Amino acid sequence: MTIVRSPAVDLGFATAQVPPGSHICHIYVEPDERDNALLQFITRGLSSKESTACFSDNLDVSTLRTWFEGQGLSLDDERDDGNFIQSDAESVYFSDGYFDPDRMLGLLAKFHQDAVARHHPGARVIGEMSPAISRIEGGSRLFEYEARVNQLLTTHPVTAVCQYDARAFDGAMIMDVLTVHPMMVLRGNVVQNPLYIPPGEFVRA
Amino acid sequence: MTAARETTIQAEVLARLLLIQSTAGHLPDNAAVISFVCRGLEMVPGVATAQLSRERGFDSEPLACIERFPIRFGGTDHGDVLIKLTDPPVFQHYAPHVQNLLFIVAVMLEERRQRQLADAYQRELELRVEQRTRQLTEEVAERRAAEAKALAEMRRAADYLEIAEAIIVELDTHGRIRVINKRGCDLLGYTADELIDQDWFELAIPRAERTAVREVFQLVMVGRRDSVEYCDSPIVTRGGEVLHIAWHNLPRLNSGAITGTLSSGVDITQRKRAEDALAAEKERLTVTLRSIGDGVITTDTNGRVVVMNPVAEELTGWTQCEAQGRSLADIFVIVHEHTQLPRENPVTKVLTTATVVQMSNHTQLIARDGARRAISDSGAPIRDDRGNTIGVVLVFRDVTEKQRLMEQVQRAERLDAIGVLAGGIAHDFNNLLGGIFGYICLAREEAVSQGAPVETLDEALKVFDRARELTQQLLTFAKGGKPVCSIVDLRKLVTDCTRFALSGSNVSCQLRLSPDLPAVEADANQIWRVIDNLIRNAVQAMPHGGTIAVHGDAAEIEEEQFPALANGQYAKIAIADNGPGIPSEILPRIFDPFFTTKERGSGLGLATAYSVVKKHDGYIEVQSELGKGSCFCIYLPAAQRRRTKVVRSVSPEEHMGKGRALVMDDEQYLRTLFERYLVRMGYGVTSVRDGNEAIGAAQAAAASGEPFEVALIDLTIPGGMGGKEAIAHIRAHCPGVVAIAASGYSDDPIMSQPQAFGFSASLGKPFAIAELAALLESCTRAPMLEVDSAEATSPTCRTE
Repeated sequence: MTIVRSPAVDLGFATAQVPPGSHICHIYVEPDERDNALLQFITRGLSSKESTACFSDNLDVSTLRTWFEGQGLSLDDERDDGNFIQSDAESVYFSDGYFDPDRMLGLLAKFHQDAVARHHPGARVIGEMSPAISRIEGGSRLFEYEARVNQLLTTHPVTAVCQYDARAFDGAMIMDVLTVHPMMVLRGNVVQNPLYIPPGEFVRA
Repeated sequence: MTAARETTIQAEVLARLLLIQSTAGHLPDNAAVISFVCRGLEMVPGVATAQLSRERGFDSEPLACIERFPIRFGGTDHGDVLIKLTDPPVFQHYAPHVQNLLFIVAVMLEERRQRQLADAYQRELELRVEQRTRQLTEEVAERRAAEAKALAEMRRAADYLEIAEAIIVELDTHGRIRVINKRGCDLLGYTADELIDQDWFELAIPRAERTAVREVFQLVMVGRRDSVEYCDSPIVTRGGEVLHIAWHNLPRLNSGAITGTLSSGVDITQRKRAEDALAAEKERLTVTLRSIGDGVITTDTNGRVVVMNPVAEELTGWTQCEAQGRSLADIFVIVHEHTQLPRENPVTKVLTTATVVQMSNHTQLIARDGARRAISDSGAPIRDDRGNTIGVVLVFRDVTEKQRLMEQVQRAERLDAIGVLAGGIAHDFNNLLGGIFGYICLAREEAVSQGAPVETLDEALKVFDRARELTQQLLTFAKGGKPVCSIVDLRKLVTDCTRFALSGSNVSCQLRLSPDLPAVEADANQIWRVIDNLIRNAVQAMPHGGTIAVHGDAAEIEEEQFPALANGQYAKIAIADNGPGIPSEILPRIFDPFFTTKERGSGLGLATAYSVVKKHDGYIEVQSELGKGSCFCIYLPAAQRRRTKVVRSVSPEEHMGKGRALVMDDEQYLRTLFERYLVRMGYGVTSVRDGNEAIGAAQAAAASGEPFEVALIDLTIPGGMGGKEAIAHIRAHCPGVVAIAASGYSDDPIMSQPQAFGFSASLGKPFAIAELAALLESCTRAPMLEVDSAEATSPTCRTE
């Protein structure tokens, strides 16, 4: 296990910083753990002037506005300025009613390009995969998508955090999720994931 | 290189195993952990698959390719992880780590199980604590609420106790006061401190009642509450006032044992006094009602009898019990006295007018036995406090006797008035007749002496006799008919008169005269005429024959039985016929003068009978019923037994006088007539007009030495001195004069008792010369005889 010590990106909810373009898995059990990670990640991104996006079904606007106000930020201003993009997960992942890894990868690439174009010092995205993925057309391509994200991030270094609810997925699924994320959050620390299988090996497997 | 690779591989695998171990603890449940671990174990070199043994087996696989790792700790077996190997030798390098991982997983699961159990226990405990806490909270709240409620109720009860209008007193088994409220203290006049622990009976019960009340208390103490639960008994206050209390007593129970009494009492003193007053008033009312001489009936508004007093019971013939609830019309049957038509129900009239109603006259009440009584009555509404009519009170009295007495009085007054009128006329007429009669007599005597025929004069005298008889009858009826009384034996007079009157008639007689029939002091002639008249009327009432009953007996007259009669002994003569009877409408008028139902009657017969009887201080009444006959009853005062000097009459033709005679009369023709009478008898006559002249004449006669031997003196001289005043002076000059009082007014007391006024005798005008001669003869020549008062006489003059 390797602790990432090189200063790069402050996730806001973990003790260690990660290099830009890190793909991090956050397995949580308690909603408070999820919300804390999500809000801290957004706040730190915006305070770093990074282009920030959030795709979660568990974050309502009023909570977000209150949180922003508590941090000296304006949700409406950040939105209007294009610094912050917020949407529910299904609208992003299951647009048109099915899961399309290519479209998602395209969106991710474009998000990065926009951030560069807008001269943001970085770009970060946090999203929570819906358990509905197993029932959605194209859902079986989730791990393919996650594996290809690792490849994309090498060229479009967006710091990406994927939140998974341990109560909503079975253990085998969680293990599979871990195998496609090179980094993971463990007890508040970001660690290199020894279970990670590089995209080449994973695709071959 | 191989060793390094194997070492590197080994480190990486170990890192994975450590990460699996670390991450597994974050997964929420055992299934997730085991599936997570199994999936992770499949990434261990030499491992094909890893599965929990309970999920599926590997029976078809050779045992050499299978490694079984139990997940077991603390007695809890979670199953075995079966690992299918692809390269057992390679796996053997990791087998201890895998075993260690799965042991850690077993510990973790056990820890989780223990934690879950602990959590479950904790939750259970917390739940129980929460439930118990909630229960206790509720219990405490309930208890506090109950306590608050009880406290409030106690306070409220205490308030009620204090403000209660009733006395509340609790006694222990010895009768000592345990609790008493303010009302009880106020009524008794003590403070609560003074009363608590005091003996209730000694303190609050009057001495006279103490024993009885204590007995009541003892009954409560032994559980006999039924008879004493409600009772009235007095208490005595500190000031000595006795108050009446209505008690409600209940035993105080503790575990079934009686520990005393709890009593509530209401001061009913005022009510009791009011009840006593009401009872007294009711008693007074009852006594008054029973004492009232009038009949009293009260009814409700439906005319149903409620109350009758004894007089009403007697008059109606119904008792209170029989009449109560019956319609008044059944009890109080009233008709018109004459028409016998029903009268209007007085209750209906009162209820209709809502005022006091006086009933009409001539109302007759028909009693239950058919008896009829004249009544006067009135009805009035009975009103309650609000003025509503709640019934009718009817007050009535038997006025039969009163009506009869009133009729008697009215009849007497009427006849008196008529008598005055008739008397005046009769007197004057009598004087005129006297003159005519006298001169006809003289003319006849002269005619006889001259040998002239006297038949015409005799016829004139016959007619004159009838005229004189009528005049005498009228005078008798009138004031001037004062009887000249003597003791009369009614047995003889009635017997003789009855036989005489019935002689020749077709009527039989039932004559029954009691030996007790007393003699009377009466004018025998007048009484004869009365009896004769009544019997002849009875005979005329029965033209086809019948029976006349003549009864005589003694009668004791009591007060107010007859208004005209004083109390005392009377002779009662009853003359009854069984003729047709007299109609009730003319009955009150039969004694009126000139009232007659006969074609040739004078209408003076009964009027004279009435007058004669009345002048004898007696009374005559009649009872008659149509179809059954009539009965006349005469009441005459019984005579006091005494000896009376009675002068027997002598023949007038035998009297020849001598000496001088005085005639005093205001009428010239009478003076002349009386002069001629006396001259014929041998007297020398001096005539004067009044008393003064008479006195002067007497004085002159005495002075001449030839005082008057005889004086015929008129008692009444209009405008001059009469005989009554003059006689004493005349006697003063002529002490031996035989003075005859002459008057047409026979009721003048001088006529009945002439000696008492200085006269020798009396003579009613008009009189014949023979009558005068007889009287003078008796006064100057005949001896005085004593006779028994009961012997019947027919005197024309009287001396004592």
